[in-house]
Amino acid sequence: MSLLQILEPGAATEEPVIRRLAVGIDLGTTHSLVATLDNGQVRVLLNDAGEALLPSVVGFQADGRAQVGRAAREAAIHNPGATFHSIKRFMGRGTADLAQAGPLPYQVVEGDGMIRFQTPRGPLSPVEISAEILKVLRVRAEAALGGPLHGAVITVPAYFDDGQRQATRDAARLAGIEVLRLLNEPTAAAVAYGLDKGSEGIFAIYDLGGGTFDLSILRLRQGVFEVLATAGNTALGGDDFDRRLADWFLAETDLALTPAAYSELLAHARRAKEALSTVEAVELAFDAGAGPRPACRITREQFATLTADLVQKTLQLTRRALRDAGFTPTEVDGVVLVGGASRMPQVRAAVAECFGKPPLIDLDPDQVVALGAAIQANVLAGNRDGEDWLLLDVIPLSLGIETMGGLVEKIIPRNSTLPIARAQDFTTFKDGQTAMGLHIVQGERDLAADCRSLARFELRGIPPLAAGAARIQVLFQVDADGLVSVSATEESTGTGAQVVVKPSYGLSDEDITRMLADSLAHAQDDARARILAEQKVEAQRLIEATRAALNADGAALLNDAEIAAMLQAVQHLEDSLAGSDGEAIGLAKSALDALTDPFAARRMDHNIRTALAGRRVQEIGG
Amino acid sequence: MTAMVASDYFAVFDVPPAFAQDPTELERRYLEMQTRVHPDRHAHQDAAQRRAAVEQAARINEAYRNLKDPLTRSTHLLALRGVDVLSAGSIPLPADFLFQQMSWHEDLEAARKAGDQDRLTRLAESLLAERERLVQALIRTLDEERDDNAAAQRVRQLMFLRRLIEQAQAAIEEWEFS
Repeated sequence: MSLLQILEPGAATEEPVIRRLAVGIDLGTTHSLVATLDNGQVRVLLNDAGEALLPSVVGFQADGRAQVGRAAREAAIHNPGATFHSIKRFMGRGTADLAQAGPLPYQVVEGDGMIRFQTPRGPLSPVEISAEILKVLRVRAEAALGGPLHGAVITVPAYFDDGQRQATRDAARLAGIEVLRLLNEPTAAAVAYGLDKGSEGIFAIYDLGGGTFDLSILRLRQGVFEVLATAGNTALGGDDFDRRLADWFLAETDLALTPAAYSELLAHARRAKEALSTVEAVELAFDAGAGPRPACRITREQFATLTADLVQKTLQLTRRALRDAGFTPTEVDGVVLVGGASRMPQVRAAVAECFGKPPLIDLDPDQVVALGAAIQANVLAGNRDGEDWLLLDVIPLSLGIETMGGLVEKIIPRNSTLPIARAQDFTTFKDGQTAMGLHIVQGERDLAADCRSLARFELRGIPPLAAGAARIQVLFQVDADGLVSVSATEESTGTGAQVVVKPSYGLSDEDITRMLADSLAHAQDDARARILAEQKVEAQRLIEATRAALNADGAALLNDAEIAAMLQAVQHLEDSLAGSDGEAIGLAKSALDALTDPFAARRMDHNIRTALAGRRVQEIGG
Repeated sequence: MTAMVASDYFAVFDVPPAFAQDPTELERRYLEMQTRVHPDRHAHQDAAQRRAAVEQAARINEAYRNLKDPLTRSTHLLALRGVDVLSAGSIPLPADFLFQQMSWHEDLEAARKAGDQDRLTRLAESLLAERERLVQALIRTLDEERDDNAAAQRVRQLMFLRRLIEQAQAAIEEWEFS
């Protein structure tokens, strides 16, 4: 495997083709599904009963065992306090966010950081509950494809902030899935449509799911899918329409319900909502126990009136995204509908009116995201049997820091293309100051308190200097998945300041390690053996990659001393692999990493220069 | 990382350091380079190569972002010529511009208070037209006359305009979301 090989577009690859099993997973609020691409055909993987959609419902039985999907949904009535619906709404959220979720039948564990619910298995975070859904999908995929998964592309709402993205990534880790990429749902939908139709132009992706709304404006051309703008609301979706209907029913019938009975009523409301997509009127009834069985008839038109403001909210966000992208609704070439809730006739009509053209509905709105994710997973796994294309995504919410007086200073504005690296200088305000705190927030509001808190950083080890003399450069990086990282250096002396991170709602690495150990049947020893095995594989890959890189570009880009040092580090790492000392392997690997990093950067530079040179030749020739 | 601050964004795309740029050509070069270095193109390679890809892709994004927008492009071009637009603040702006700016502000405030959406939209349009006029003037001062001090003044006018345009758009949005 020549890992450092630079791929020339159009050049034939002569490596033997090893297919890596890769899937796309749509981890949805209401349901989840998994898809894959083989023989050029993209398809959704079914369970034993032939069903594609796995209801995103997790129930914990008295003995702590988890039930996922339809079984959990059917058992919910007997176990409402330990059956979790729409858990995605709580990913990366704290207890303060519960207020807007409405009445819940769960017991919340008091505490800071991410919310935790009391279950028969003990207190669990939304990350651990979501991991149960992902485990079921992983097992389904491995059974269907006949081998262990190489990795998965997991989709997230484009509007997810860093905390919600981290939580999704952590859930995959707990489920034993290697995340190739977190892909925005609308981008995935565009991939599914774009490749089917080979179309070019400006597209709007209107995605109304169970619990979230996303609107993205994309441009497709020259094999590049470029996200121009995105807007949305992570607390607006089909569930809100159900709740509207249920609350209307309660007001009409003067009923008062327990939280458990209310969640049952919500299920009735959801079915009534779905029925209204095909018929003009339905009867919503509810068995409240003793006495007469209250029932109300509702027409499609009444339902549209009840929910008109919810639809309007989506259109406001649509106009914002269009304005950010610099387009008017009529300049959009196609509108793609995604998410089960986009089936509602009042939604389709409103979208058609806003853009002045009927939306595209050729692909199943419940499947289109997973299909697109599967196509991208295949590319990222290195199974290059499709055309080459590239997805350029954006950061959905501005990234800033809290300054004096609780105001936000924006460092990276929303809709900047990923990945991003931006440096900002800070200084000390007291003589001899050796530490400073930074509060990182995400959002568009002027006050830090109105934005979402991502993390608090403490920079320590700043050399003691006069006030204002130290220059601390803080580097904010956002990778292609939209995940944020921060590092700092003191520039006047060149010492790296130490960064201590306290994520506001995320899980620390120790949390994840503990959860992984908890989930492994035979705790400690197995976990250690697994980590050592993974470490050895990683090291072996690095050795092969380094050798291949040296063969390809070593002579051109390195001097003799550099080559000798690298070969020595390779030898050293190989020696350490013979033993089973994890620490020694780790040290030898870091030593080699330190040498290969600058080499990789030089190779990438070389690659860019070649690109420019190639273009020049083309221009002269053409 | 310090090199990022001092880097020449024009050199990144191998285009001449001038204010007038062909946006189509710039974009073509940007997409072509991103197609090669984007981390997704190196996803199945080793960690060092992936880290290098993220760094390079971020550098290209940063360069393109700065060159795409006339305001940041002119500021960057002047910085390369040794002129710091902000420290050129001691030179007073022309009185007629300051006067015009005050009247735009008053117009904006009145329209916002009245919730007059049409008036806000008209104001935003005339601000955008004024920005276009300034951009055309900058092509002459920066590329033809090469009068950097006069250019710095125009760039500062562009900054005022951008803030006004943002405020007008925020007012339109505020009205839509209320």
